[in-house]
Amino acid sequence: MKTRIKEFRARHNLTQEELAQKVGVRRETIVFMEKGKYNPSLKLAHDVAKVLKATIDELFEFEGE
Amino acid sequence: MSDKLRLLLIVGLGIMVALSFIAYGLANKSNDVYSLALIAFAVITLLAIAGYGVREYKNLEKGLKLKDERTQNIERKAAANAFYISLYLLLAFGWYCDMAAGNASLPQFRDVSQAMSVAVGGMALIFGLCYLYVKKKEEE
Repeated sequence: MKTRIKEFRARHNLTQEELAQKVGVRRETIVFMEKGKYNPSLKLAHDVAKVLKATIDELFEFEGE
Repeated sequence: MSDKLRLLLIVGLGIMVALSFIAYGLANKSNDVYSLALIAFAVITLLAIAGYGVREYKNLEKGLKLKDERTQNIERKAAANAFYISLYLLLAFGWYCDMAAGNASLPQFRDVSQAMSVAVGGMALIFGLCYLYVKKKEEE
């Protein structure tokens, strides 16, 4: 899984910690999501997309798509 | 339960267990190497718990969570693994108790409650190891 969370986070001048605070998770979860090592729930993906003003499709790209 | 209270309980429980190991190690004068190893293990555990407590408290002060869906998933997987492994641990305990009963040279449990305490401690240890294993595996 590839993600563009880092790119969108940079656009909004947010640190990993700030994004974690806004979506209510630990900072490590954001780190692993950005690296594509954590497959978030639909709710978390939705919350992240909402904070970053993007769609889930824009943020997450699954292999084989 | 609030995150701060949960952290306090985790750290408090960890400190109590580590201190009881130290007290046991200090009281046990029959086997010096064993006692020293136990005390060293307990001191390292105490330091790790203190480090964990300070780090997590700072995170909580910043408004971050102690637990989230990722850590809950890890806990669930670790608990499931630990459950299956614990069944084998209890079987091994039963087998050892039967074997030790007929062999005076093997260490014996004082009574049922001591055997039960060691079994519960072993289950907790297995859960801890499973947690570290699952966490590491998830991060790869």
